[in-house]
Amino acid sequence: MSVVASRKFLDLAALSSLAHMRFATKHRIEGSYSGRHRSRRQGGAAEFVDYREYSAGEDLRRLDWKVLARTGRAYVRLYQDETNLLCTLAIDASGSMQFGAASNSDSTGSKLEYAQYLSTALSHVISRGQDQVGLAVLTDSLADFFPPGSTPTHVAQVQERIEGIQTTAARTMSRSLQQLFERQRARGVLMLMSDFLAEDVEDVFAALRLFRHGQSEVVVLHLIHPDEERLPTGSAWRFDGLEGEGHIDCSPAEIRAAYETGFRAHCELVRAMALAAGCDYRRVPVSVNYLETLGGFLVERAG
Amino acid sequence: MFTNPWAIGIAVAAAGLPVIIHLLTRPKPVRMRLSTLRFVKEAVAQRRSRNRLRDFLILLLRTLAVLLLGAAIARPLWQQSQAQPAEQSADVVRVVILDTSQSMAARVSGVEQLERGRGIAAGHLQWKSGLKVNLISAAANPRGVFASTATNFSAVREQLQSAEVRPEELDAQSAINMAAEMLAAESAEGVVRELVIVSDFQRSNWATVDFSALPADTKIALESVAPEDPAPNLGILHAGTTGRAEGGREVGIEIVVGNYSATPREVIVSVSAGDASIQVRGLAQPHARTTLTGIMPEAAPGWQTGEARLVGHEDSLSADDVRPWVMSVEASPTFVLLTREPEERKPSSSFLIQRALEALVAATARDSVRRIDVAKFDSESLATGDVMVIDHPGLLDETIVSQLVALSRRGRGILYVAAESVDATNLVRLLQASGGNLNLPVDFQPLSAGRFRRDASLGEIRAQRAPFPLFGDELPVLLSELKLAGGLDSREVPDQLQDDILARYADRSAFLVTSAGSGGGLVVLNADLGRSNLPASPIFVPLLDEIIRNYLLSSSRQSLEQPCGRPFVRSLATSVDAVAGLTVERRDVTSTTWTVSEADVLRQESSGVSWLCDAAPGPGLGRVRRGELVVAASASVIPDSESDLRSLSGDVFEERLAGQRKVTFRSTVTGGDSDSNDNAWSWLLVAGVLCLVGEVVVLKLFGT
Repeated sequence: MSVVASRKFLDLAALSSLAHMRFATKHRIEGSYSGRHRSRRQGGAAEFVDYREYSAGEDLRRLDWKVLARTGRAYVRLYQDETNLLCTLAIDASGSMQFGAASNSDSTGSKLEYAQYLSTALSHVISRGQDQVGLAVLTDSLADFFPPGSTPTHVAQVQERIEGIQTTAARTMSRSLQQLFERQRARGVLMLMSDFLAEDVEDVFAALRLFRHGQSEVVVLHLIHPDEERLPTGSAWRFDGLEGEGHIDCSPAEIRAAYETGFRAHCELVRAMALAAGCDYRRVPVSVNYLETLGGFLVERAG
Repeated sequence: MFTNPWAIGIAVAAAGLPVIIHLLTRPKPVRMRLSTLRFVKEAVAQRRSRNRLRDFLILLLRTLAVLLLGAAIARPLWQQSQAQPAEQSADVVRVVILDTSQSMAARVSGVEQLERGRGIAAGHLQWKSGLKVNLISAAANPRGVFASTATNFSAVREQLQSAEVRPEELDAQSAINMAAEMLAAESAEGVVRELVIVSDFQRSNWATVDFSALPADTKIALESVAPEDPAPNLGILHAGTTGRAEGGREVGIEIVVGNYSATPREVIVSVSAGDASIQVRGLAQPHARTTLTGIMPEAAPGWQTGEARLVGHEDSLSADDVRPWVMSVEASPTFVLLTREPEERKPSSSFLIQRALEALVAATARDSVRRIDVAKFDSESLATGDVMVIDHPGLLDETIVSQLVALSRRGRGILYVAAESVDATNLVRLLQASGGNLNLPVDFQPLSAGRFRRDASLGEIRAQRAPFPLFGDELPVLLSELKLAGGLDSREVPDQLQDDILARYADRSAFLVTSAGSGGGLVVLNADLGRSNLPASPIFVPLLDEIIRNYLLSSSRQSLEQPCGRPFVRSLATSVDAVAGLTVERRDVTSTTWTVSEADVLRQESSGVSWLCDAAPGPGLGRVRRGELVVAASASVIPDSESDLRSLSGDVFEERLAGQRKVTFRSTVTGGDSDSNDNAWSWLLVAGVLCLVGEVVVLKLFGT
C-alpha cells in the first residue's frame, strides 16, 4: 500500500477527479517491472508473470474473471510482454521561471510554482499507475537528480524535492540535460517543463535529440505566463531581468508590437524545434488551472 | 539689426522651454520584473534607430519653429551696411550724425525711419582696433555723446539705443559744424577722418548745407533711410485766427493743411478751443498748402487753448496730424476820435466816422467810442482808446503829437484821415516824433495851389491785401461808384515798401497807406470824408472794420506759435507789469494735465515782463497764470517743414553740395523693393508655420 505524505503541492482532493486516469505512453518502453505498458521487448509466448490489482479504466479484457469470481476482488494478469514506465520529470529552475511570483521570496503565482504543482500531480498519477517517477532539476548544470522509482517512499521524496526547488540566475539548460542523459540508465519518458527562455535553446533541443536517439519519449511542456505575451500599458517602465540581465527603461507603447511579434516567433520556434526533434509539444499557459492542463494532457495521451 | 531685438531673447528662452518642461515632467518609470529582457532589447533596438531619427526631426522642427517665429517678431532689417572697413594700418576717427528730427518718425513699410537709421548707425559704431568714434544726435540743437571722439563704444551705443525722435526741425549745418570741430581736433599724423550721416535728407533741411567746415581730407558717407519715392503725408501746418478775435463776436479761423502726395485729398479738421469745437472741410490739392477757414462761436475775452486734428486719417507721419493752437480773445476795442469839428455839426466828416465806429462795436458798448475835442485835449482820455482816429484835428501841438507817438509805441493804433493841408504838417510831425518807429511809403503834401480834388475815383488797388479781399468779386463795382474829394498829394519815398500803398487815386497819389514799424500801426486814409460819398457807400463801415482789425489792432500781436526746440521769447501784455504771482505751466498735446514748467523763465524788464525758454518743449501748450487768470499762452508746434518728406537725391550731394569733397551717398531703402527688404519677417513667419506643419507630418510618417 502507498503511503502519501502531506505536501504543499499535492492536493489529493483535487487530484481525486483524475483518479481514473493513467499516464500512457505512445511508444514501446523498457521497464523493469511488469506494468501496463507494452514492452519494447518482443515477447513470443505471453508467459504469465504476476497479478496486479485492477485500476479503474483499465482494459476489462485484462481482468482475471476467475479470481474475481473466486475472491470478489479484481485483479489483472501481467504477462512478460508488459512492463512499467520510467518517467523522469525535468523541471527548469532558471531565473525566468520565477516570473509571475508575488515577490522575490514568494513564488506564488510564478511559472515555477505551476511547474511544481503540475509535476507533483504527475508524480502522483504516474505512481498510481505503478510506474516509476524520477526528478531532475535543470539550471546551468544538473542541480538535482533523483532516478525513477515507484515505491511510496520514493515518490514522497520526489515530491519533497519538487517542493524545495529554488530558481537560480541561470541562462542555459543544455548542459544539465546532457548530464541527465548521461545519468539515465534506461529508456523511458522525459517530461521537460520549461519556459524555454534560455539562451541556448538550440543546444537544449540538441540534447533532447540525444534522448530521442536513445529511444526515450520526450514530452515538452512549454510554460507561458500571460503577462509575458504582452507588455503592460503605460508610458514609462523599467523592466528588470530575472536572469541577471540588468534593467532597461522604455515606453511599452513604442515597442509593444515588436515585442509581441518577437515573443510569438520565439514560441513558434520552440514548437517547431520540439516537433523537429521528435518530441511531443504542448503549450501550457499557466493561467489555466494545472489540473485542467493535466487532465487534458492525460486524455490526449490515452488516445 | 532687429526692430524688436527683445523678441530674439524670448525665442531663445522659448526654444529651451520644451526641453526643460520635458525634463521636469518626465514620468517616473514603473518597475516590473520580466522573465527575460531579450525580446524587449530586440524590440528597443529595432525601434531605436527609427525613434532617434523621429525624435531628432521633431526636436529640430520644433526648435526651428520657435526661433523663426521669434525672429519674425523681432523684425529683422536687411541691407544694413557696414562702414567701409578702416585701413588696417591707420587710426580712424569717425563721427556719426544721426538725424532725430520729426520727419524721422515717418514709417516706411511699417518701420520707423529712425529705427532703420539706428541699425545703420550701429554698424558704423562697432569696435575696431584704432577706431575712435562719437555720435551726434541732430535735431534743432545737435548733441554729442562726448565733446570729442572716444573709444568708449559701450557709452556711444547706449546713447544710440536711447535716441528718440524729437518734434524739432533739423539744423543740419550746426550738426556738421559740431562734427567738423571734433574731426579737426584729431591732429595725429596719418589719422583717417570719417563722417557718416544717417538721415532722410529732407530737402527743406539739407538743400543749403555746406560741408566746407569739415577738414579737407574727411571722407563723407551719407546713408539715406528715405525711400526713393517719398511717402505720402498730410499734415496741419498752421492753425490760427484770420484776424483779431474779439469777445462777443464770432472768430474766423484758418487751418493750413499741407498735402504732400500726388493726389487731391478730402480733409476734415476738427478744431477745438476751450469748450467750443467745430469741423472745417476742404479739398487739399496735391503738393500744395491749402487754407481752410471756419467760424468759431463767440467766446469771452481771454486766452483760449485747443488743438486742430485731422479726422479719419492715417499716413506715414502721424505727429503732424494734430497741432496745438491758442488764440487771444480781446475785449471789444475802444476808439478815441480826436477832432476839432463841433459834435453838433452834421453831417461832418467826424460825425460820419463816429457813427461808423459806433457800428463796429456792440450796441451796449457805444461808450467805447469817445470823442475828444482837440481844443479840450485830455491825455488821460486819449490813453483810454485802443485805436486813435484823427480827423480834421487842425494843427496838432507838440504835446498831442508826443502823446500820440508814445501811445503808438505802446501798441495803440492810429487812423489818420487826411482831409486838409494842415494834416500834411501833422503827419510830418508824427513821423519825426516817432524817431523812425513809424514809416510811411509816401510823403504827404498839400495839394498844389489851384488844384482841387473833387469827384476823384480810385485807380490802382492792391486787391489781395486787406481791407479789399473782403469784398470779393464785387470790389471793382463798389469802388467804381466812389467819388472822393479833398485829401493830400503824395510822393513816393525811396527805399520804402511800396506794397504798403494799398490804394491810389487815378492820379497815382496815395489814397490808403499803412505804415511799417514796431508798436501800434499807422494808417492814413487820404480823403475828406465830409465831401466824399464814401461814408454813404455800403463799403464804408466794413472797410473801416477791416482796416482797423488788420492794421491797427493786430500789429502788436506777437506770434502765438513757437517751433519746438527753438529758443522762445515773448513779451507779455503791458497790463502784466510784475513777475510776482505769475506761474508758467505746460501740457503735452497728448495730455490734459497742466504741470508747472521748470524750463521756462519769467524775467522783469524795463518794458514789462518777458517769458523765455531755451528750447520750447512740445508739441503742446504753455500758459502763464496769475491765480486763475491766464495772462499769456503759446503753442509749441512741430515745424511745418518737417511734414514735407521729399528728400534730396544722392547726385545733388555728390555734384553740388559736396564741393571738392568726396561724398558717397547710399540709399538703404531701394525704391520698389523696399517692401521686400522689410517683409523678411513675413517669410520667417511662413517658415515657422511650415516647421510646425512639418512636425505633424513627421509624426504621421513615423506612425506616432
